[in-house]
Amino acid sequence: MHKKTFLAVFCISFTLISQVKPEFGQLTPKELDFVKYEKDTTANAVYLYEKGENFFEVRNNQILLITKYHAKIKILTQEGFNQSTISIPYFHNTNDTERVGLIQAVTHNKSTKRFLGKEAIFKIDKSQNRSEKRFTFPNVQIGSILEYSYEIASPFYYNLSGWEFQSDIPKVYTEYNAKIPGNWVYNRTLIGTLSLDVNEATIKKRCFQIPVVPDPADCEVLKYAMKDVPAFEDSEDFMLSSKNYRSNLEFELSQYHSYKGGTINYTKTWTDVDKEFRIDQDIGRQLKKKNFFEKKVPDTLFTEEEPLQRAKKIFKFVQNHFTWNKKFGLWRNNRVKKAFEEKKGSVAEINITLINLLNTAGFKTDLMLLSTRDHGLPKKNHPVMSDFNYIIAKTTIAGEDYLLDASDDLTPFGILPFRCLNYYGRVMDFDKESYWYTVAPTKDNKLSIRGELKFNLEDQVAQGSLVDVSTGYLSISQKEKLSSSDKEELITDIEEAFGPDFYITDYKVNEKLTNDFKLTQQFQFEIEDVVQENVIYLDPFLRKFMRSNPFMAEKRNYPIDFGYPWEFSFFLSISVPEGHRVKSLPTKIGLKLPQDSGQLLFNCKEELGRVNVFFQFKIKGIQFSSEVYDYVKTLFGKAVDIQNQSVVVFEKT
Amino acid sequence: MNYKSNNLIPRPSMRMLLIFLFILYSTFCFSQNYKFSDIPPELLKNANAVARLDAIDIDIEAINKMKYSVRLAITVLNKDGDKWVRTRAAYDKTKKIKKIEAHIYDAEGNEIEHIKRKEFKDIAAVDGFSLYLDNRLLFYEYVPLQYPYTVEFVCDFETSDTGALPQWYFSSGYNMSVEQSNYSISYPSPELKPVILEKNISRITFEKKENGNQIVYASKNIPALKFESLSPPFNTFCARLSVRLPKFHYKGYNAEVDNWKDMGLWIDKNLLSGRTELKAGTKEKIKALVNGVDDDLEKAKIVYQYVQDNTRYISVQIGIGGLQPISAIEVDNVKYGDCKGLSNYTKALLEAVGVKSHYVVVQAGAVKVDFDDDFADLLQGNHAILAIPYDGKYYWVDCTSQVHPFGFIGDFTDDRKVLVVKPEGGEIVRTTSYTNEENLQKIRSSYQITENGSILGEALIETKGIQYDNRFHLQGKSKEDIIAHYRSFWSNINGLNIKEYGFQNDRDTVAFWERVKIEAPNYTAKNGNDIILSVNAFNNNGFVPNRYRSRKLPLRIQRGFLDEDECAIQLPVGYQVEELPSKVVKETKFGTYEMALVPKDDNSLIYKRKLLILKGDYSKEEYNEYRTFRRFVAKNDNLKLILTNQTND
Repeated sequence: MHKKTFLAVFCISFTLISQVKPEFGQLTPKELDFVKYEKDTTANAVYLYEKGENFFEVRNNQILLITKYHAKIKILTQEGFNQSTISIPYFHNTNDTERVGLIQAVTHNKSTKRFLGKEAIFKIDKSQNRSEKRFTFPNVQIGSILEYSYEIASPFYYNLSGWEFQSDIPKVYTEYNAKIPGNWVYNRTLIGTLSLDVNEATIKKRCFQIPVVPDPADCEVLKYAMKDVPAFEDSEDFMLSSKNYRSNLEFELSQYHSYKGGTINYTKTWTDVDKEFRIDQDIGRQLKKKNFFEKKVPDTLFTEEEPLQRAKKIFKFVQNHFTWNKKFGLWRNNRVKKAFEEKKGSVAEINITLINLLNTAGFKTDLMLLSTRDHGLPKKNHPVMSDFNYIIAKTTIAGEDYLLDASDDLTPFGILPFRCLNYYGRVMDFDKESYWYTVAPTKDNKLSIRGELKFNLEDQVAQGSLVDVSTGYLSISQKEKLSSSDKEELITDIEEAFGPDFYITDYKVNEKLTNDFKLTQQFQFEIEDVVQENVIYLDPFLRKFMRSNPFMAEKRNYPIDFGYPWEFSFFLSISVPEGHRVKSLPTKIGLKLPQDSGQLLFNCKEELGRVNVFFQFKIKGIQFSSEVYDYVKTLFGKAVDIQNQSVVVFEKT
Repeated sequence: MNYKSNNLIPRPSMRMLLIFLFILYSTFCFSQNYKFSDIPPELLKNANAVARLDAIDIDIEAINKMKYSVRLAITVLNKDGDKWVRTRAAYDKTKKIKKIEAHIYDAEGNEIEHIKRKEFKDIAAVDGFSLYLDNRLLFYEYVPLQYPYTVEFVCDFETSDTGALPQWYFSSGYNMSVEQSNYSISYPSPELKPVILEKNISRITFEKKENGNQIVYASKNIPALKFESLSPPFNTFCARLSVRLPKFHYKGYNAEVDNWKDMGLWIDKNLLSGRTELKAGTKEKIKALVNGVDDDLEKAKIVYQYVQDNTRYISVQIGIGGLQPISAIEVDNVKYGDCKGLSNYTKALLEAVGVKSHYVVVQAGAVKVDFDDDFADLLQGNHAILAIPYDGKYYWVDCTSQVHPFGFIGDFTDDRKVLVVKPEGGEIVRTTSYTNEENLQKIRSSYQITENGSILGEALIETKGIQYDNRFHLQGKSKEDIIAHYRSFWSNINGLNIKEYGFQNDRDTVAFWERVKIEAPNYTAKNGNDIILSVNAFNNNGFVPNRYRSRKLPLRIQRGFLDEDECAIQLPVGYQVEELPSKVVKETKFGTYEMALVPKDDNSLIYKRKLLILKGDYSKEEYNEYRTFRRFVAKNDNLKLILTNQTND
């Protein structure tokens, strides 16, 4: 993760920064002459100029947060035309609304200008609380400069959220300004690897006045800018959220000193957060429903003597009781009693119920705040509550710590869903104080296939049996498939995975060797069309773990992150067909990643009338930096080559 | 042709008659018990959901007043059945929702929830590609607690539009069975008696009653079908009703339509006429462009090129705008429009240079859907193109594409019956087809195997017809996308590196050439001293149709194609093929496969391959034969050779 705290450096400068404020609709000679973006010749469009501004203003006796935006985009190719449709989102609730106004847009084609008509601006209601204004530029051609500006007046002060320096197209210049009266305090964080070209903070005395207050407040005046910001590269396979890497200045409202007196603390220190959480309607108070749950759940839930069994029983009960409504629901409207009665709820409601019950059963259980993988890593330097979007339970049983999430039906006790594997979270220990805690995924994630095969030359087929054992995360996905499809479908699916000549003649799940963490499937099979005239070629990889290398790109922009370590293994014992002998076998291969963080083994041997094929592909590390990308790429490439190219050749004696 | 790359380049969707997407279901009232155990067992087979009652009750009160109620009770058996639950309804300025509610029942048929109107959310309808639509949506998102459960949805509409009557599907799709399906329509007078076209109705048992001014259809116990790949589209074989009024009202317009000729006249008069006016300046400009050109077709090409260079596709749908193009002047002003607007604009420009063209309504999409010859209604078609008559035939052009050659429409609107709107009335005509050998891919290639098992190669790929359509977009793509395309096209070559590529696009003959240089380390595998080589590097077609233990639906091959390959292979020094496989020729009713490997000289071979797949409709019994043929192709394409090192012996 590349992230650094943003230090507000106070550069007192007396000379006014003399960038002339550009008039809307006017292009500078440099902009007019712009033909090609030398720094990135593949760009389809580029921001020549972008500026945003935040300040407070009194309008109709209401203090409003004003956002002003102005941009000029040069279209370089036809593919860049998709930049010409603009959406301006805004928020509203039952009491109040943000207002988007002063929309201006003009398409510059050389020296001609085509302004956007008012009738071509549309309003779209996306949901109850979110709408957007939408328009598209007229007369767009390759070479057009699209210029637009607008203003949002907002009664929601927390919507001063910062500035996105980086977008999907490059920017020649992007600038953000804010003028914030001392009454508002925002925490700031600069995310990403790029650094600021302009970083100025000054104090302006007596800059903000509201009618009823005699003394104007002082303001902090901020100006941040970057030049030549590269386009943000698309997400890649196997990575954490791209939010961790995109250059972005984040603001979060931390304090508001009201003009009527008094201070509202939004976020400040973890001590403050801890205090607030304890009394919060939606979280803290929801954790104190012991009496309610004691009445509602069967007594037998708490009577199991053995502690771990007791905890598991409670976990299963909550898992079965609730249907997850697919919402995370961290901050608003958590009502565990109602959710419990209705038997459905958000992750927060389900896991708060679990915490209540585990505490009732005598286990010290705390709420743990998490951010899902898609949501980015939480900042550690100060509490930013919007960084979190998920709640799980942390419990201690007989000295062992467990992290629990009862929202998915098939998640085993002590294992978190994949979306939660985001390194760390904050445990809200209401007895003491909150603390960071590491999310460590289970290491036992294996898929192993063992089998034997013999030829039936008379019928020109091969027959055999296979045992397919999966554990940990690799078993969960398979179990989901098992639970959602009927047997015939399942068998057909397995057959398709093996290939067009493969038929399953018998299939069963071995219940004895199957539990929460593990799934064992066994089957008998027959392969058609494998016997040829003189020479028999057999591809021993009846089933491929991976058909192509997911890492093909020349370079990797972001670290690879698998979420958990894993291992694939394959063993097949082939009887040498009657009247034949081994002609040739694939060459033995062994490869390792640096620091032993992964390995690949492949070996075919002839032993006592059989050919034994052994393949193992193991990744022990979780995250791999771009520097070791080439090694990972090579390892995966080799693993795929082995599976796709290996042939065991038998010839007639 | 490589199936993997079929959907290579996403195209802008170009829907037109969006409004109709939202009209589907609609009913009447009688109480029923929705116990799970009451479902006849034969309806549970293959079903994820069972429609206990799917009913619509349409009451036409006048030419411009219609009420209809929808009542749909779905018992959902598992997670995949959730999608059949309907708890939403669309409305707009001319269509109001008078009543909307839903009831949820458990497996025993006990009501567990009653969702009232105020619990439905009211939002804008979004289709994902339009800048703006004026349709809105009332919807409620229900999260099921357990399976099975039943959702009964009741919704009453009132509308002034009688020009788009709800169509009726007795069963709505795969993996869904129907216990009771009722369709009822009543009309005020004989002149407003609906015309009903019954399609595939013999597939179900049904009752039809006419009493007084009411027509009623009812059907019971329709079993669920499972989706099977390579089958004809569901709506071509399912039982359904198309219904229209001979006289109707639509978004402020009255019409009297009996056939396509009438429909064409109505569209021309009400929706198109007067829309092709242009400013004098624009006319001058376009005339100047064709100055000195006499031939109408040549003029048309110049105009089409002008439209392609200067406009782009943006969809905005307001009111009758779902059917009517925005005026040519407006498009000229902003240089964008939807399919209707751009077609009409091109028509206007052609008019300005004296070239005749006709506005065309078509059902676009890779799956071909015909207009019904004998049933003229507003519900057919979702896209607009132009037909330019020249020398006794039509040239079809799609004005929403900025890249297609003149007269080439690709698989988006090919080979289907469409409505050509002429001043003298509408006409149903079939668009250009691209089939079998016309969809050609010819690869001439060579590669050499190096000592360390890598290959270095070069391929010249020529494509025509639909294969051209799948490929010519590469020209405008970024390097990353192009490399990604080749990696997927040649996914059989692991570790593929693209060294060099170049394209040539001949828009006149509609042919595309790609020249690609590649390198693939470790393409071959070592078995001791031997080298294992997959001979067919550049067109390895591993496609095998899915396996069905008992196939229920017929097989359809929509277009067919021809692939021809010739590859010169240079073996590593000192290596030889032990035994050359003999020539393979397989002829079937589905097409032909040929493969031959012949020695060129001591150290090199020539690999020749041909795969012809024929367009056609085949029975369900023939599906397995086709699968066997494709298995045969896949197996032969995957041919491996053993190269032995002669020097070591």
